[in-house]
Amino acid sequence: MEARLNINGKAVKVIFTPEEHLLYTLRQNGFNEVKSGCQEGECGACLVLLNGKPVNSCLIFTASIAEEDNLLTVKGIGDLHEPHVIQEAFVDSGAVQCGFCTPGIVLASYALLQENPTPTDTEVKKAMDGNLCRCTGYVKIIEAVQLAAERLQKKQ
Amino acid sequence: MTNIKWFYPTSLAEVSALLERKSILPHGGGTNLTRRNLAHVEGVINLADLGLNYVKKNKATIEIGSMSSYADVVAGLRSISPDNILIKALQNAANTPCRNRITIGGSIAFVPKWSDLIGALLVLEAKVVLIGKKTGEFLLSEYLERREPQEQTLICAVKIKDLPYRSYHYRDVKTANDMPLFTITVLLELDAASIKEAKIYIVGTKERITKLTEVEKYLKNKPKANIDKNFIQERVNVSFMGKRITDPEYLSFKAKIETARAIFRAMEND
Repeated sequence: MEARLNINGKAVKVIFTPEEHLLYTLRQNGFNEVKSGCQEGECGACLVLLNGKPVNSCLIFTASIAEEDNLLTVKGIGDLHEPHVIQEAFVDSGAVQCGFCTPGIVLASYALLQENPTPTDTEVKKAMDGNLCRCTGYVKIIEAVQLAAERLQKKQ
Repeated sequence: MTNIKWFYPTSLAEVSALLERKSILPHGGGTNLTRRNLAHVEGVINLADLGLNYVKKNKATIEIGSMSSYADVVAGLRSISPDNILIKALQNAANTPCRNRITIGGSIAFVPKWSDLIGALLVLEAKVVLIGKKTGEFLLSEYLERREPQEQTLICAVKIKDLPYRSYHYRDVKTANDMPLFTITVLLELDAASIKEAKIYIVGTKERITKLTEVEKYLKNKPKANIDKNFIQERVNVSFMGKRITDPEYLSFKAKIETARAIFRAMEND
C-alpha cells in the first residue's frame, strides 16, 4: 500500500504492508526518534501525537491513518539545534538518563501543556500514565514538566 | 506479508454490504485487531469516515457513537452528564494513549476480560444499535448473552438512560495502570430514606460477567439505615479463574468485602 502521511508538518510518501503498524512505518522512513519498546501499548516509547493526542504507534495500523491526519514526533516540536522549551527543561532538570523513554515522555508533556498550561503534579502523573521510565524514578520528569510549564507561562 | 484488503466506506449501507462477507472485520482504530494474527482475515473495514464519533443527549437518553474513544466518552459526558458512572469507569481504564484509541464499540464487540466498560454499561441497562446480519436496538445484556448477533454485525451506537442515580465503580488492580483483575459496578436509585432499586455487576469472574441478583433483591426498597454489610458479604459468592499474579480464593474473598464497600460508597455519594 502507498500513502502520503502528514508527519511533522510535511507530506511524506510511505509504502507499507496492509497489516503494518505505524511504529514500523515511521522507523522505516527515518523517524527513528520514535522508539520501539514493548509493542503492546504499555511503555509509551513509541508515543506520537495523532491530531494532537498522544497515541501508541505500535498499536495503530498505518492503513488507518488518513492523509489529512497530523502526526507529530518529538523532532516535530524541536531538535538539537532548536530545542523546544520542554526539551530544554528536561535537560536542565536532569530528567534524561538513558533517553529511550524521553521522546514519548516529552510528547506526552507537550500534549498536556497544550491542554493544561498549569498542571498540578497529580495531573502530570496522570498524563504520564502511559509512559514508563526505568532510570529516573519519575521525580525529575515531573520537575521538568513543571519547569517547562513555568517557562512557557513566562514566555507568554 | 498477507493479502488483507482495506475498505474505506463512507456510508453504513456500504458497511452492511461488506459485512455480508464472512472474513471481513470492522476496525474502529482501537487496539484489538492490532494485537491479533490476521493471517485468515480477508479484509478490514476502516470505520473512520462514518461519523460515528459523537456523544449526544436527547431528553433523557444519551447516545454514544461506537467510534468514540474512551477519552471522547469521558470528555463528552462531562458536559452533559457529569455524574455518569461511565466517566468513573473509563477515566482510569488502561492509560492515556490507549484511552485515546480504544473505542466503545470495539470494547463491546470483543468484550475483553479486563473491561472497565461492560459493568458500567450493564448497570445502566444500555442498548446497542446494530447493523449487518442483525439490525436494530438490542439490550446489551442480550447481546452479550447470545453471541450470535456479533457475527457480521457492526455496533453503530450505544444508548443509555440519563436518570438520577448514585453509583460507584471499583477496579481491583495491583498498581493504578494495571488491567483490573475484576471490577465492581454499583448503581443505586435512592429516595430520602431507602434504596428504591440496585444494580450490581462484577466483571472478570469465572463466568466473565456476574450479576449480583440476590444482593440486588436484598437492597430493593431497603431503608438505608438497615443495610447489613455482613449480610451482603455472605451473598457475594463469585469465583475466579486462576490468575498468574494472585490466588482465586483471595479474589473471591476480596470481592465480598469490596462489593459491600462499593454499595456503601455509592450511598455516601448521595
